[in-house]
Amino acid sequence: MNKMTVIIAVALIAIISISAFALYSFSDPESSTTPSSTPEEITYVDAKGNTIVVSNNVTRIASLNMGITELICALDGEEMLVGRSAGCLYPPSVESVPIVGDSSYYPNVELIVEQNPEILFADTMLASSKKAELLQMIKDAGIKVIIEQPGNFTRLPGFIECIGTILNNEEGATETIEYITSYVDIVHERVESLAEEDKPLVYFEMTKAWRSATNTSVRHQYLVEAGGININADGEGSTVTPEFVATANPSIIIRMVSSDNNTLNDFEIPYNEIMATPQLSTVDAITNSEVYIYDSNIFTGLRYPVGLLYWAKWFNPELFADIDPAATHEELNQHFYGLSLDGVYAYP
Amino acid sequence: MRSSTELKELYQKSKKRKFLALFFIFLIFLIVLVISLHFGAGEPRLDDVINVVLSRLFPFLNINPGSEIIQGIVLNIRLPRIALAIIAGLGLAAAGATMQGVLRNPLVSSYTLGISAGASFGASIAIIFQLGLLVEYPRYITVGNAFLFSMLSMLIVYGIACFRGISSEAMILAGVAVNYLFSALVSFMQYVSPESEAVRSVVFWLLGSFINSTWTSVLFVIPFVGITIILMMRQSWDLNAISLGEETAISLGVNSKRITTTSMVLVTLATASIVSFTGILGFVSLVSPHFARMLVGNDHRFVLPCSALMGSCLLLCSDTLARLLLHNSDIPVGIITSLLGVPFFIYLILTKRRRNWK
Repeated sequence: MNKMTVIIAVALIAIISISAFALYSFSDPESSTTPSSTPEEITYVDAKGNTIVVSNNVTRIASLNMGITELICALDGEEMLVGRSAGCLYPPSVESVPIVGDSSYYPNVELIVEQNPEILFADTMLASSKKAELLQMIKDAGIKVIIEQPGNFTRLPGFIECIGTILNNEEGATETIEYITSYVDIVHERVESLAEEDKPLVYFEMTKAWRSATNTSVRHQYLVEAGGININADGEGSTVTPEFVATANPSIIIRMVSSDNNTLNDFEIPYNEIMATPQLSTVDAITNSEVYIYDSNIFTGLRYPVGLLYWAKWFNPELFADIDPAATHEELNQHFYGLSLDGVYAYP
Repeated sequence: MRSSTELKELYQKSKKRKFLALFFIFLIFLIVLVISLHFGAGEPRLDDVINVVLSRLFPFLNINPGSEIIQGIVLNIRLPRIALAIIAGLGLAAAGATMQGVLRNPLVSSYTLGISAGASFGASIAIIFQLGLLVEYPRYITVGNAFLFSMLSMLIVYGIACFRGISSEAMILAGVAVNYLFSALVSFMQYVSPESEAVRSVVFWLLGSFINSTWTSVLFVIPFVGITIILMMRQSWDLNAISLGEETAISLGVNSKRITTTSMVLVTLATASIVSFTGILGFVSLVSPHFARMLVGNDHRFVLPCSALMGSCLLLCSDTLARLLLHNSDIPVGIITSLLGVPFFIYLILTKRRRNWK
């Protein structure tokens, strides 16, 4: 046997072995479908600028924010939820998920660590300097923390994509983004056509009297997007003087409420309070009864278009005459959760 | 040894000097009042204010009151706010002077009886949980709770003090205990509050502000402050006797326990009615009596009105700045009061007479 014959024989054996191994591999049905064998990793930069590498093979997640929990459920991730905040009550089926904190501001580190999620979602309250130690304790337990602002629409599509990847539901994420963007685009397109002088002056109030929003607030962003002019845009503080409001003479007043049960009473009380405020008695918004009360939840996560449509219609009723925000809210609820809507979310 | 004529002359001279001091403070008060009326976040200036007021008082003069917005700002915002600041200053400072006199202690104020902590607790319940006696009237739920719990804290302090006999030590210590109790409860409520906006509102309330002043609040506070100040003034001779010591007071026929109890009730009524609408305005009732004593000595017939005017000046100045310092925004007046008053107070401590409390 000469040297050439040996080389050819070894080469043949090698080719046959490799082919056999390759055939065996392709014939294994599990390896082609189990994502864990080929985990997809994405790098996500959260609302606080932290870079987090997450993969789509996680099985345990927790959320301390209502909007984020709703988003996870809409993307079929409810089974992976092992923890939620006390305020996460929608869809109602999440009530069976263990509570691991009151909110992003009051996480219960012990309960979170006990549930051992791989990823914890929270809003920016968990990233406040007062909570730095708690946040570090959670991270030290090997839990990845994603801080997000589900009420900030500029970040929302990217965040939905991230959740879609984590939940292995990229298709659902894309469809969700398209669905909500279609409504937001309606508002943007119509508001774009408005001249600045046609936009109404709006006085926005947080849940308490005289507490307003300046241009650093996300509510200011909503207000501008919906086609209004914030009278306190360049204010130096969030507590405005009554004299300033009376002088600015807004044509619309909006008060936010955080309603637990969404009863009519929760909205009528602040409405009547504003209408009876002596300091505002000469303001156009009062004399024309252009005072509106809304539940802060209608701007959270997937419901962002609902809030925006309400405001846009309040600001420019003729421009949005064909839009029924309450019907959109109902439709959105049916679409994502298959549930009909109960309670009051905006008044009157 | 001076003769009685010389003593009389000296007394008349000193009385004249005190009246002059009172007149001087009243002039300062008028200047501050004019400045307060002139400046504000809104357009109206002093001439607008005068026109609006004159057109309302004397409609037959046909004075042009300006636009509806200007009239609204002057009548519904600026005037009630200034009026409440004046009344609050008068009431808190007079109450502080009475407390310092009756308890013979320069560190006490109208809040020593736990009124501020009680009011804070009541207001916090209303702001955070929307619970209270006046739940049907949401504009007044905080006011109602604050007033109720102020009175309650006074009753607790009085009850505790009664066990030890009504003495200044017992009252001060009981007040400290009640203050700590209610303060802890307020902190607990802030900690467990589910809504951060509510916590911010509690903090704003705790720092005091005239932002919610209306004629209703002015009309509610006026009778309380007016009547209590008159009654405090009527007790000023007795306070003079008590400030010389309990034994001296008894020898002069003054029933110090009765005066202490009456003063306590008057101070609570005046303070509670004010803080219910304004939040806690602590510093003014502590320092105004000291300013007054530095000017007119220890005679409570002069200390009380002088202190009251001082309190009004301090609160008016502070509130005007609170309305103007930040663009469009309102700063809690309690912050400004301390920022304004403390340097002046330290200056007086370092430069003026040392015998005010002897």
